[in-house]
Parts: sequence; C-alpha cells; structure tokens
Amino acid sequence: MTRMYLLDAIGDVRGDFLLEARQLREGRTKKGPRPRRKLLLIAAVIALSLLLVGCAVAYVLQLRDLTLGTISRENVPTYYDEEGNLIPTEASAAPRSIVSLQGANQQAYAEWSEFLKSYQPKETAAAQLETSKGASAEALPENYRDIYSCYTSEMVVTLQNIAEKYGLNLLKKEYACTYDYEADVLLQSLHLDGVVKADWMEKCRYLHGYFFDNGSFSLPMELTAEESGETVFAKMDYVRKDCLYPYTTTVAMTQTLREWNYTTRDGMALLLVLDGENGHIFADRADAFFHIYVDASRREMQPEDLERIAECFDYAVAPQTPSSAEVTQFFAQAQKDYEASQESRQQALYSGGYGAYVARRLERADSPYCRDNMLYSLLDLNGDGIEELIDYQALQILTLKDGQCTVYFDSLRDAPGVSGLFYFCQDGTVLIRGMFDNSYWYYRPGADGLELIQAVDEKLGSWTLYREPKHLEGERILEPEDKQAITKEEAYAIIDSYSVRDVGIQSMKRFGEPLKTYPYRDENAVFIAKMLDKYENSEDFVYTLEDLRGDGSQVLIVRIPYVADWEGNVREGSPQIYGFRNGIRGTVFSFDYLCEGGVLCQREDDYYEFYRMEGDEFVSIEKLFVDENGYWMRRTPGQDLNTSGRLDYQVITREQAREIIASYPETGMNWKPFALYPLQ
Amino acid sequence: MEDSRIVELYFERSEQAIAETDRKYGPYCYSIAYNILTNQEDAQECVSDTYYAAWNRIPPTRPGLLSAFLGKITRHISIDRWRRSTAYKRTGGQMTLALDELGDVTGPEETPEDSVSRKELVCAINRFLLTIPKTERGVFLCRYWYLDDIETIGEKTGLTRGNVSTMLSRTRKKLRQALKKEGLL
Repeated sequence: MTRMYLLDAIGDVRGDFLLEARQLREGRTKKGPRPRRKLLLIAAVIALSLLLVGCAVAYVLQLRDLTLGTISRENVPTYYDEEGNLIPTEASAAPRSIVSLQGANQQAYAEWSEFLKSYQPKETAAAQLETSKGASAEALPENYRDIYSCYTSEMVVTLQNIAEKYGLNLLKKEYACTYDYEADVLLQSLHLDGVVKADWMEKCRYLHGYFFDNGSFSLPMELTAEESGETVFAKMDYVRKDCLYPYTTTVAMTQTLREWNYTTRDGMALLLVLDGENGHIFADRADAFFHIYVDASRREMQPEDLERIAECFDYAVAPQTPSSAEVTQFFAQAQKDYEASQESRQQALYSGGYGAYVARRLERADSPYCRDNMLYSLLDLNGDGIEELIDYQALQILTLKDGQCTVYFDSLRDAPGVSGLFYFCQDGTVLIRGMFDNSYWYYRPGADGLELIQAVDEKLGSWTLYREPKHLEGERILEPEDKQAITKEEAYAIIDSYSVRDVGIQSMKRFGEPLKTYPYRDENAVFIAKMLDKYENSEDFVYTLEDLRGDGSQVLIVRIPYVADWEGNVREGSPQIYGFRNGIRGTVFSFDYLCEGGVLCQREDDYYEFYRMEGDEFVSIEKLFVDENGYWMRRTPGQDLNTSGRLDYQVITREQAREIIASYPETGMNWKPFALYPLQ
Repeated sequence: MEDSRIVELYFERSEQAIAETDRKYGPYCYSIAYNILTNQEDAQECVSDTYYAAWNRIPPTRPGLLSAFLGKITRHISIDRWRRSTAYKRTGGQMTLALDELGDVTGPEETPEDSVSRKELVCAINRFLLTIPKTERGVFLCRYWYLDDIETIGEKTGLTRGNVSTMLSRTRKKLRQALKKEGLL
C-alpha cells in the first residue's frame, strides 16, 4: 500500500466524521451570523420536543427518542441522458441520525450542540484576543478546552450555565489509552475485571480506549466466537447520566433499518438496531446509559446474531471513579512493562550468533508467507574478514563482534524513509531499490555501516538526485536539502552505471545450507526459480506468457496465492506482471482478468479500469465505476485518466456500462505450474 | 446568506450564486486548496474551478451540505493538480509532509502490491476512527483530510503544537496497528 493510496482513501471517510472535523476546524473562524432570536426559538423547540419525547418513553427505549438530529449527505443528484431520459441510480445515500449517548437525558447536550453550531465570538477586544493566535485558549481550564472544545471564556460560561440548568456535572479529565498495551489501564483505573460476562472473559480482547474522571468510558474490543472462531469488533460506551457527555454516535437511516426491543437472559431490557451497515445495542440503566457498536461491515448481520452478541455483555458493570494518582501509576507501569518487554525482545534477537538470530526471526514470523519471505545472504561487505548477514526482509545488515550479533545497518535507523530490496553491485556498492516508489539508493560499505553515495528518485515523471540521506526530526522524515533535479536520461545513466551481481541467497528456514545462485540469462527464469525455492506452497504458483504489446513479444504473467495465517488460509493472488531491468525488480502490475486484444482489466465490485501495455508502461484506457450516489461514471478514451476528480466523468446508464464492459470480452489464460517454466 | 438561498441562486442560474459562494465559502475552499498546493495562484485557480464545477453540477444536484459539497470538489481538484504537477514535490508543502507522515502507517514491510482494496481500506479506516476519541479523530482529519498544518490545528483546538504532533503520531501508530490487525498491511 502506498502513502498516496492511503491519503486518497482517507478522502472517503464517513461524512459525519468529516462534519465533526469541520466543526473542530472552524472552531475559531467566523461564521455567518444567525439572529439570536431565531437561535433561541430553535433551541426551545428542540428542548420542548425532547422533553415531550422523554416523557412518553420512560420505559420503552426507541431509536427516535434518542435521536438528536439528522446528518444528510449530499442530496443524490439527478442526471438525464442525451435524449432527456432520467438516468436511474444504482443506490441512494442514506442520511444518518445523530444519537445521544445519554439516553433520554439529552436536553443539555442538544442545547450545547445548538450553541456550538451558531456560536460567533463577540467582537470585543477581549474576545479578539482570545480568538487570535496565541496561548489564551490554553489558559482555559483543560477540561473545557479538551473535552468540550471551548476556546473562549464566553463558551465556558455558557457551558457552565447549561450544565447548571439541567443539574449535570461536567467531565473534568479525559484519559486516553493510546496503545493496546494500555488497554488494561482503563480496567484497572475503573476497578473493573471486564465488561463482558464471565464466560466471555477469555474470548474478549480489549483494545485501546478512553475514560473520564467520573467513570464514563469508551472501550473497543474484539470478541471471538468459540464455535466459528469468528472475530467481531465491538465498542462499549458507558456514560453516567449525571454528567453532560460531549459525544454522540450515528445510525444510518437506511431502508433496511430494523430496531426491536430485546430482554437478555438476566433480565436487561435493550434496544437493538441493525441499520444495514452496523449493529447497535442500547441499554438504559437508572444511573448510566450503554451504547455498544457492533461492526457488521465484514458480513451481513442477522437479528439473532446481534441478540447473541448482546448476551455477551455485563450490563451491571459498576466502574469506580478513578484516582488520578492511581491512573498515573497504572500508565507509568504499563509503559514500563511494555518497554521492558520490547527491550528484552530486542536483546534476545541479537544475543548470540547469526544462527540464534535467524531462529528468533523465524519464531516471530506472523504467517507462513512472512516466514517463507525471510531470506539471507552472507557477504563480507567491508573487507574486514567478517561476513555480514544480510536480512532482506528486515532490510537490515548484521555483523559479528565477539561472536555476538551487532547491527551494521538498520534501514529504520540509518535510512529513514527508505524501504525496498537489497541488491549488491560488482564494485561493492550496496543498492536499495525502493519498493513503494521509483527510487535507487546507493551505499558504500564502511567500517561501521553503510554510507550513502547517491540516490535517484522519480516522482510524477520528475527525477531527483540526492547526495545525502533523508533524516529524522522528531518522528518526521525530512527530505535531504542537497538535491538536484535531473533528467530521466541522467537518472538512467546513473542506474545503468552499476551492475548487480548474484551474491547467493538462502531461506532462513534452511540456515547453514549453501547459498543458492541463479545463473540464468532469462530474468523471468531467475524470478521463477527464486519463487520456487522461497515458498512452501510454490506448487500452487502458475504462470502464462502472453503477447500483450501486440508485437509478438511474450510477457510473463504470474499468479501467486499466499498463505496468510497459521491456520493455512490462502489469499488468492491477482494475476501480476513483474518488470525487471538489468536484474533489478521494477514495476509490479496487478490486474484481475485479461481481455481480448491484450487489454488488462482491474476490477473490484462495480469498478472497472482497462489498461494496455505500451513498452514497459501500463496505460489506462478506460475507467467505469459506480459513484457514492449510485451512478455509473465513465472516463472516455482520450481523456486524462490520471486524475481522481470526478468532474469530467460522464454519467451513463447501467445498460451503457454493461455494453462498454462487454466490449472488452474476457479471454482465458493458459496457466501452467511454475515448475514447467524453462529455466535457462 | 443561507445555504438554501445560495443553492436557489444556482438553480435560478443567477451569477450572484458564485459571488455569494465566494463570500461565504471562498476562504474555506481556498484553505483546502492552499494546504495542498502551497501556491496562492494555483489555489485560487482551484477555487475558481470549484465554482465552475458547482455551477455545472447545480442543477441537477441540490447539495444538502453546501460546504461538504464544495470542500470535496476542491480537494479532488487540488489533489489532481498536485499529482499532475512535478513542481510541488520539490517545494514541499502539507501534501508532501502528510504523505511522509503517513509512511508511519504504511511502513517498510513488503506487502503484495495491490492486495488491499480501497473499499476494504476505507471500511477499516472508518472502523478505526470510531475507536478513538472525538478530538483525536477531528485532529486526524484536520491533518489528513484538510491537510492543515500542525500549528493551525493547534490554534483551532487549543492544543499545543507538541500535543498535536504527539496525538497525530500516536494516531498513526494506532492506525498502523489496526490495519495490520485487519491484515491490510
């Protein structure tokens, strides 16, 4: 996964999260004024309606009674074809209800929320000072600022007034358990053994969470069903009713939304909701309100599934108010324990010779795929008479001092921001070929480590030459200052001036056996032979040769399933094309099926993108997908396809989409086992 | 002017729609574009492109949330421009920094290329965002959706620069943990 791919994906997060972030973001910017009288009227109407609702549903919990408002996604647009006929959508976006986490005791939150929406700081000198860049917000009491997002004293006073009006307390301190190893701090601080019933204790794994000074908390967890071994993600919010709780949840108002009341075997009355996306469990106790979110995005959940999950939880939990001193101590202890375990883990890795190191690396493998991928070489890099151990997967080089392993080069420490594959050149230079980018980093082996000679890096068609490494500032990786724009030809002149050599490689699983070399002229043969040696399931690997360029040249296509866990679950790999240049791995292109005429299709649900191979490049020729509003969108040939914006897409009907997809008929591939590839 | 009235102006094909959009949402869209492009002229062009796109899309679209509608268009256009231009990578800017920071999440391990579907990834990010406090979620999205710089996020939230950096760093690590746990890394 690339960073750009991740950044792009973040662009599609849930709309309500985005709205929430915008509120935070606009905390200090001016907003369009809204007449005060109107605001009061709105607040009064909301408060009254909530009061009425609250009276009517004292005993039966219903979703509408918990709803504070609705977040509508953008209205689904209407499109017409060239003849003026309406283009129907595949689906429509459902609005989401904002749901209180305080049960029916929500008037105070509604009033505070309405105030926040319309708040505009007074144009007084004092307010200006508060809203200007400076530390005044930091002077506000921490809880008002961090928990309730106040940034002026006017907001603080309003919040106090609302809390007083409804007889509620304000939360004073939020404690965040940031890491999973801190999850126990929440339970210890609140003097809880857990939040699930005794028979589920062993099947529940608590993750990080957060809690407050009054005992309210939010605790995510994974529950594993014994019979099926299936893991479900859930999150419990426990909110004491005597406080003004600043957070809410949302429920998608889909057509398939179902809500029903359910009583657990031990008599707890619940409201259960399946909104077509996720499950929600609400429980209203005299002193506290529970909301349990159950993730159903992996598979469709049935009412009986949610009822079964609802039975897991202990609705009688009684968290105690945490003592600040105790919490500090628990956090410090968790950190200390974690650091100690990491330190001893790290020490154990290097305490011994290469054999011990390799054995521990293998023990720590996450999956068969990961273990099979552990390869090493032995090579005296700096000519001191001691062979260094090259760990390809860890991108680390070890040497020996007094029979003990010591780190000679650690990419994380010595080459921040560089990740890739090691190659060794004829002149002794060590190359790291970037795996997630098009970069080449050349190092000279020194007495105590690798020293960067130069690097060339291509981004968006532009090449840069570096003569110093990236460096860390705090936790941030900074680009080298000494850099120079160069042409593609200049870059390839540098790349081609190094010639890589086969230094021999071996699987860590066969540590001690002779290193293997691959003296084949055909680069595809080298690749296939290495894969056959490397993976235990390589008998399932297949290849085919296809004329993708239409010029008679054969391109190697492979399909490599990998064993993702120790239970032996296999992830079927997509067909892939590996590029090589002078023994160095280049582009890897994955696709889903081959079409007639050598067109390659990437497909995922209702997303289709078609490519042609030109030289060593893969050029997108057409793209179709269903957008978030349920419309089929098309990028026509000849347009700039290298953009993510949807403005230039053409809206088409489902029938048109099917016709276009059908115009690229799938053709079969003649798969053969790797073992049949002629190695020469 | 209320959003609904601005949208009506678009429906009436009144050019005042653009003027009112600019008055109300110009700075908002500009801040999104500028954070990505770090160039005043280019950012302003993206904002103009946003208005042009809005003009072409309303009608038939009737956005329920005009700000979100405009913001998404601006982000798409600006990222497209950033991707197309080679200059930005050299001049840094929040995109470059944010991408560097996200390297903490993607990490150096070898993963089979294209093994993660976008849909799966978005679902996992959404699930993860649910597990963290609202403030932390907001700070994360200010940084990686709006591409706000750390100092600005500090100003907006009242947190110190150090607090924001630490919070983001921890969130990235947690996100990495979460994605690894889901088998996406």
